This record gives sequence, C-alpha cells and structure tokens, in this order.
Amino acid sequence: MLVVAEREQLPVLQARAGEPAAWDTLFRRYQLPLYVYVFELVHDEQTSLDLVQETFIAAVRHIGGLREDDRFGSWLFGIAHQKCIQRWRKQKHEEILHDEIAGSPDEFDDGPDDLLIRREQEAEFMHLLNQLPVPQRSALLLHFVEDFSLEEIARITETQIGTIKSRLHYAKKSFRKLLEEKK
Amino acid sequence: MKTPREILLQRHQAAEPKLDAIRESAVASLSNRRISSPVVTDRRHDWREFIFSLRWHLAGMGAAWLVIVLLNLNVGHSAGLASAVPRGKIPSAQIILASLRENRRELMQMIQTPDSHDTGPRRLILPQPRSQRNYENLTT
Repeated sequence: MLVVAEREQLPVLQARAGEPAAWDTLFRRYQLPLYVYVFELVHDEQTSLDLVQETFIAAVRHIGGLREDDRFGSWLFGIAHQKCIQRWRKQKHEEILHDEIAGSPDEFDDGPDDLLIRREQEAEFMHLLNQLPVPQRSALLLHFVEDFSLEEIARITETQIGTIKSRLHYAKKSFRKLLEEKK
Repeated sequence: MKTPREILLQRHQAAEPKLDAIRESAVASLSNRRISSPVVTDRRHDWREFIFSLRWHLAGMGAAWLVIVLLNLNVGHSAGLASAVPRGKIPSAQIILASLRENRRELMQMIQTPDSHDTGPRRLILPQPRSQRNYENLTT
C-alpha cells in the first residue's frame, strides 16, 4: 500500500551541494506522484514524461531558489505546474486555467483520505475527476496525491487561498454526491 | 476501500520503468555537470548574496551619481549660453577704448556751459568786500 511519509527526512541539503545520490533519492520519491499530477492534467503519456523530465532538469538548475528545505515537494510540484501552463500556452489552451467558481466556503478542513472509494466506484471516480474543470482538478490532485495544505496548493498554482478552498470544496462535494448515489 | 491517492498511483504504476529511466538520465547529467563546479555555483551564490546585501547602498550611490550628472548638465548649459555669442562679434580692445573716449568727450560737452567756450580757462567768482561794493553802488 502506498502511503505518504509524514515529515520525511529528505536529503535536500545534500542535493543543494550537488550530490547525485541525494537527487536520486528526491526524484525517486516524487517521480510517480509528479507524473500522476501532470498526466491527469494533460492526458498524454509522452507529454507527461517530457514534462517530468523538464521538471527534474529545472529543479537541479534552480535549487538555489528554494528557500525552505522542507518545502521541496511543493516547490517541485510548482515547477511541474508551471511547465504544464507553458505547454498549454504553446497550444493556446490557457483559457482553461481561468474558469472560476462563484462563492467561497468558510472552512475546508477535510483530509484527502476522508473519501474512501470502493473497487466498483473506481472507474466512476476517475471519470468524475476528468470531468472537473482544470483548476478544480489541479487543486484536487495536489490534495489527493500529496496532501498539500491549502497554502501549499495556493503557492503551487499561484492562486489565492480562498479560491483554492472554494475549488476543493465544490470538487469534493461532487465526489461525495457520486459516492452517496452509488451506495 | 481505497483512498484517492492509492487509486491514482496504482493506475499509473506502469509508467514507473520510464520514470526510472528519466530519473537516471537526470542524475547522470547532474554527475557530469558536477564536475565543473559546486564551488563555482557556491561562489556565484555568494556573489549574489553579497550584491543583494548592498542593494540599498548601491541604490543610494546611483541616486547620488544621478544628481551629480544632472548638476553637471546644468552647469554645462549655462556655460553654453555664455559661449553662445559668436567670437567674431566681440569688438577688439582698441575699439572699446575709442568708444569709451568718445563717450567721455560727449559727457564733458554736456557738463560745460556754452559761454565758457570763448573765455578760455574759467575764472573764479569771489564775493567782493562790502566797502568796495558800496562804493561802486554810489558811483553808479
């Protein structure tokens, strides 16, 4: 079973010093979650692999710009997110990043694991995920895959926290509705 | 029952071998680069930090230089005005001297009375003694 390690001790300091073994550990830790995030946004295997590779290269090149070592994960996802946006811009799809939802819930304190999905609901789950507008999908994937906080998701996607709260609230509401209908 | 994370990661597990290859190539390229320079990148980083710490001083110096340059431009402008009179139009010293003499002569002419021209050097008119004056009055 795959579980996100809490308070991982990642060798970011060594990576800053340019140690290949440290980078190998970091990339190994994030390669699949990063690929999942990118793939579920762009829906193309080769593009996703290219974007993950570009993200790794950019991370090595710009590690000096990372201010806090314990934010390496969100920083890396931020690079990947920017790469996706650049790709969309090239393909003139940037308008899909800007559809907004009216209104914002007061609170959002659900964890990513409070949604439990039965085997027979998995296909429905994926279908619903892919139906979501990109901004909602992006926020939800970051929440599901790495359990990033609202602040981290806001930083990764360069969006206001209130907007992220709203996106997650409405996306999860849709999922709950689906799961309750299928019970 | 699975969490969304488990569903998503399992769904894409097939991509792991390709991701491993990408990771290995990224790390290999890093090993090749290393190489030239953790020291150089550190130095670059140090330089950046150093310059950043001096940003206010540099901004101040820049502003001071700007003021100096502006003042200089102003002085240059006034000097330019003075030098704007063409050299050819400035009269020579002899001409100026002659013109001054002429002015002085005209001034003298204006000061002198018309009859003083004939009498030559001017006489002083002093008051006469009272006795002499009376005598003159009686005789006339």
